[in-house]
Amino acid sequence: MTEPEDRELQGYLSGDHPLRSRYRDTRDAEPPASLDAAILAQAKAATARASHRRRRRWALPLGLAATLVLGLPLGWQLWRTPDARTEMAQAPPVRAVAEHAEPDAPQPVEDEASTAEPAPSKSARVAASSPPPQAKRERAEAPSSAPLSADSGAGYGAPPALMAAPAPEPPPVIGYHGFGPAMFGDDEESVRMSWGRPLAESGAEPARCQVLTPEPASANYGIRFLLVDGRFARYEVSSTRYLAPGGGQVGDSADTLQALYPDGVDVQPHPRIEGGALWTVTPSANAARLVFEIGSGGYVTRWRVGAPPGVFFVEGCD
Amino acid sequence: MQAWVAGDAGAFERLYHRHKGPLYRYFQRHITPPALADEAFQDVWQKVIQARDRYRADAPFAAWLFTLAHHRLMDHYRSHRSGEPLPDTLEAPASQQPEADAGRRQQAARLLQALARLPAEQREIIVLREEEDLTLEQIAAIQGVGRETVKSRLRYALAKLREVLDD
Repeated sequence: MTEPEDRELQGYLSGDHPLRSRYRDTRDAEPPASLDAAILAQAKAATARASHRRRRRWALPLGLAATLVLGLPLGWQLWRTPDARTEMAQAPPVRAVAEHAEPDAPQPVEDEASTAEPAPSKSARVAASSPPPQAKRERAEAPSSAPLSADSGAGYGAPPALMAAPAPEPPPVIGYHGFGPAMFGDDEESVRMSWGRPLAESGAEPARCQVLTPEPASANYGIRFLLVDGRFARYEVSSTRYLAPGGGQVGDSADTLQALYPDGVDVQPHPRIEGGALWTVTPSANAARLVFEIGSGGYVTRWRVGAPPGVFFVEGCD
Repeated sequence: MQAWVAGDAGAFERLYHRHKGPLYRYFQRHITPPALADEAFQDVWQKVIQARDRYRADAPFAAWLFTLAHHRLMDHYRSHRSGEPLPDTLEAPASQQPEADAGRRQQAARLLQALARLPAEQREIIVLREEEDLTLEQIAAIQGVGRETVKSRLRYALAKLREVLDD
């Protein structure tokens, strides 16, 4: 390059160049309002869910602390009262009471490692990423996390710590925990209930390894579920309808995966695809794995989430 | 970005309004038809939302945002096999006072056409500099090349744009 061109470059880098003012006149184009609204709504929903998860993390320790603060002095006072000591001595053993008690309600399982979000605002993805009808229904019936109003009457007489505790929320549909309400390790019925529509069974040895594929096949849901020894072991996605935890999806390039998953990724050659690769993401504090299959063209052809050893099966039950 | 990750719902909106124009024009300058550019724009924000926990505070948000955008652009080129220059049909920016600004609009339109004729990697450097004022080092990291390569591409780009700028 010649000296004048070098001078021009230096001038441009120092801000002294006509391109700057000329380019400024081209900066009128802005995204349409509909696009703004769709993206902001998606971010708002993601923020709300993350805040809810954070609040739930504090619920248990706060509840325990409140119970100790209120309960210990009360217990101490009761113990110091002679009548109370007599009544307690005559009370039935704890075990006998427990035998007649109702079983505990299932506790919501929190998937802290999951970063899965709802479907994007593009209509195709919205429709496809929504949970199937059963899961939708369960989400719709989940109790609201909004605090009870003072005059609602609900929770009257309950300890303050219980009134303040947020209501449980179902786990996300896609995540490291499993699929919807079905957790890895659950039985076949749990998976079927989570999907909420007919699932066809296949597999050479169903007792050992079983594949459940949504019906009708013509609907091309692009997802299937794998059970090993009768327990939910993984789900596989071969469609752009679903986003993996962390944002990856079918069609992403290796470069995109690198940007989305900068840490904790193990890359190995694909054992069955010439020039392909397997990208295994290991989330912190979670036994599950996310595996992307990269085809010879350098793009994600499918991905799966599951618990070892089922998640490492190369092809279905093999 | 960190405020948003920490739960400040309004932080994303501020972030979005600050960077939406540059990112939108980035794709408008590189992808046709505009509907595909809109799709790429939306995809990148979706990735930002999905991967927000992985944002590292040691780099400016704009550099991270445009790294995701660059990857999305490369994906588009690979899938559409269209790394070639855009057609000379980029729309001139609208103006509130068409008659008074006719001259400036014409100049802006000529600049956009000249930009469209640049090789994509040179055009991208100009757009990143002008839209977000990114440094050569940041652009080099985004393009996955060395700083000197970016400098060289920029030098060529300026030489090709000189004719339009001298008008």
